[in-house]
Amino acid sequence: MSRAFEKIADRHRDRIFTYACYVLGDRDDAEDVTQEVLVRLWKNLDSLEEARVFPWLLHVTRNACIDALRRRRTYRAVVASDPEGEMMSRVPSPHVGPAAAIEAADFRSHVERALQELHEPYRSIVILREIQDLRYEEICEALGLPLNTVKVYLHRGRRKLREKLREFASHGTT
Amino acid sequence: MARREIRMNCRRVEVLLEAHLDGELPQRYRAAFEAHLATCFGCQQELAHAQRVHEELRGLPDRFCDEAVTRRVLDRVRAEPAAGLGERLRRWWGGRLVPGWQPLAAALAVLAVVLGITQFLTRPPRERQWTQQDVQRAELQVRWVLAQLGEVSRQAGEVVKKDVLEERVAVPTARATGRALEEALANPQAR
Repeated sequence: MSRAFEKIADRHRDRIFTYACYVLGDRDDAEDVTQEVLVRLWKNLDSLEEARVFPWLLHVTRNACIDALRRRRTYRAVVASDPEGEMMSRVPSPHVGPAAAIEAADFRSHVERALQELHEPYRSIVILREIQDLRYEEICEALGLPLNTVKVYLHRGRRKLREKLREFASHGTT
Repeated sequence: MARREIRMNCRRVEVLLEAHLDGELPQRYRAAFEAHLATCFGCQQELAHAQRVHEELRGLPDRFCDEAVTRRVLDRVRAEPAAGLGERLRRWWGGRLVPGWQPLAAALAVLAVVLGITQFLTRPPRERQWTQQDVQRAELQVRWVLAQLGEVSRQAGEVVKKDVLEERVAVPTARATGRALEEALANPQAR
């Protein structure tokens, strides 16, 4: 059983982790959630059909993230400091000058921050669709929402994200 | 039949923007959408902002989880204390009974209910031992019922007397009855 588990865990671990990272904005918390989700996978492996494993994992990850956010006593988590610099990905592009690179990095950090200020389920839907490039059907199954609702929420989520970015720009938030 | 011209304004562009970003803007709106954008600076800026956010989101990188997480999970689940008998049974049966255990459980429950009812209906009658206390209680109950009946009869009689007889029959008073008796005794021939 452990061989089968390792195979599935290796296949999905990074996707779980990426989703948790963007929802929680913190690597350590995301790693804890990933571990928790994999433990639950182990316990339920016998009863899961292979085709349903990934939506099930997303569903469980989302619930675990929501629990983690509740534990923090705030849904509006501030982007955590990231000693490795990976979360912000402030890597300047070789094709642009230093000022433009800083501006681009700032914009990216604002996008990530705005993303974490979005409420659920907008945040999850934007992450799963825009960042993780999941199919609508996969999102519907993971979140238990109908297709039209997911599309409407995605559009609303993106619009809210743009509004937040405008707010950041107008207040000069860094 | 000529197709009706679609009129576009900033509000409509805002509504259609998301579909445009997804490449799902219906053909019939495209010309009007683009014509409006060509002349409206505000909408051009809105679109540029939306496209930049869209691209930024799409460009956010995947994160890579430490491979040791899987190993830690396996260590953790193996280190957990052995499951109790109930848990082991649940796991064992869980793998085998998932397809059809609910109908079987329902059938067993129905059978238990039917057997219970049959037992109840076919049980032999029991001889009850009456005590002196039971008899006294029964007597009291009978008296109480008779008293109630008497009271009901009395009230009914009163009503009948008042509503039916009083108007038509002169009820003799005690004095009148006494006088009549005296007269009868004094003059027995009169009867």
